[in-house]
Amino acid sequence: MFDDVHPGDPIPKLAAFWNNLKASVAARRLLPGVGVRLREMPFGTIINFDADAAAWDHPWRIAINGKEATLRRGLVDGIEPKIGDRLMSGDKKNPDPPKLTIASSRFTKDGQSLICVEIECDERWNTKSAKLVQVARLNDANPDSPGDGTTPLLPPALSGRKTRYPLVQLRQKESGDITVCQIAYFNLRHVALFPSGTTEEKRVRHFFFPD
Amino acid sequence: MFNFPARAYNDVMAAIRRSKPLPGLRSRIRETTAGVVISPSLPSSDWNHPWKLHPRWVEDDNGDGHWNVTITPGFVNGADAVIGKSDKPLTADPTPTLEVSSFRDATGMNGHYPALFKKLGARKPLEPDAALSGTLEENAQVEVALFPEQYGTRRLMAADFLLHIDHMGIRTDTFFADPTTGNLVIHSPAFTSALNRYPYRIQTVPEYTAVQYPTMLDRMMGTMDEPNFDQLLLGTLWLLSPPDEGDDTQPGPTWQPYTQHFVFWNLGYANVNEFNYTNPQPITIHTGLAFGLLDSIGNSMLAPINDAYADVMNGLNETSMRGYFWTL
Repeated sequence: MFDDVHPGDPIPKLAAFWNNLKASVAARRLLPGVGVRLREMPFGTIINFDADAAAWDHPWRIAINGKEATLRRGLVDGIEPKIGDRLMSGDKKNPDPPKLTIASSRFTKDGQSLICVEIECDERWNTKSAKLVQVARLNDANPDSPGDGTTPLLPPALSGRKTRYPLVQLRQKESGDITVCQIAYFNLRHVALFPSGTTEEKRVRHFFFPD
Repeated sequence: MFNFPARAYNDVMAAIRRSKPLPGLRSRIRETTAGVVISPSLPSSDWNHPWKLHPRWVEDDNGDGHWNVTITPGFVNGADAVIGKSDKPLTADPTPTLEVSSFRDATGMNGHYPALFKKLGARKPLEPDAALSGTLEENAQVEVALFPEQYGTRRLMAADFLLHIDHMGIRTDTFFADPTTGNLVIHSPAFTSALNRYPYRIQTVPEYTAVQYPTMLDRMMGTMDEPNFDQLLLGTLWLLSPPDEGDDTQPGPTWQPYTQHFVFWNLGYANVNEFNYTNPQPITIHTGLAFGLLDSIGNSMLAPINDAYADVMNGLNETSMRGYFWTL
């Protein structure tokens, strides 16, 4: 960075050293980035990180506003799910992310509902398309008329080579407030497996892994 | 002649001093010879991860009390886990709690604990007294530490929290056969039924012992008895007593709780649901010689070979309904 200065060195060299030192000190001034606040004191600079900066903005992170929810963009096998007919993060025509309307009819009697990613597989059981849906139970064939059964303990094999994985659990309190429990934090990868010797559609097992 | 005013020198030195990074809110500073590393520091209490333990002392109406734990909801395959012996999911309202009633004494006989607690003044775990278990021979050498380890006088109790999942297991049933049919002892896999209806359950135990799965030798020897459950250690609640606590007291409100976690994410789980077994057909002979007597004698002679063949097949099939966890 600097040439060393020795006793007896000519003054112009010292001047160069001095100028370099000043420039270097100026270049090392701490500057705040996004989510960072600096407080310069005579004895040093205190660095504060905003809480928001430290929080983790992960895929599928939900934000609820009244009866509408938006989820941060997540992927299943690299495919971005849709809400309705629009990509969940918005598109070029309309960059605002679409909102998922929370339907009060899609809760169980216990006040539980799930926001899921529903994927459809092609003939080779690779993910073809994905969309976000709200269901009372993972295996509800028709989300608008939830059944009385229990939530299945594995991602269900739905007709049409479909399955669902829950991203967020919604729980409606007696007061009517909805509490949220985030389930998925990562982009997902999906694998469909069969017991050996069969490719029967109803015997397929769906597995999800973090991508 | 180059001159610069004292003010310029002082300004530069002040700028150098000002640029020294100091840790403020949620920040961490590490000075190295190559520079200063600045990183955000998120206190562990801010990340309310799945399966996080929240211990609390609860006082009863009669003045007694107990330690309770609430757990941040975690999910297995996206489904709720239930707590204790109830069927209440972790997400229920009001939040269900798990009473911790039995502990292990980590500073008791043969106890062990993380090094942190030694710094916090935990006492040394008791060890079997060598003088009681044997006598020292004459001129025996006795090791005396020059710098004895520094321990405190605080007792340490602990309880483990685990996720318990019931499923069907596989065991080996033993049948004695007619040796003339080509087998003498048949070891045949059979199901052990699952105990509970709801499979994802959080329990507390004084000390978790890892589930012991059958070995290949167990399968081949016909002594397989696979557990009909899987377990995963989620965390440990440590309770550190005030100094000089008596030996027999139970953890109370003056004890300091610490939590140690082993799982920080929601989980995926699947067990083998395929009964991978083909009944090995014994090798038999059918010649009809001596009115079939020679067949019977020959089959009896083949029986130990067929038994061994069946046992090897049992080993190689690795028939199991064991489950596996992964974070999700």
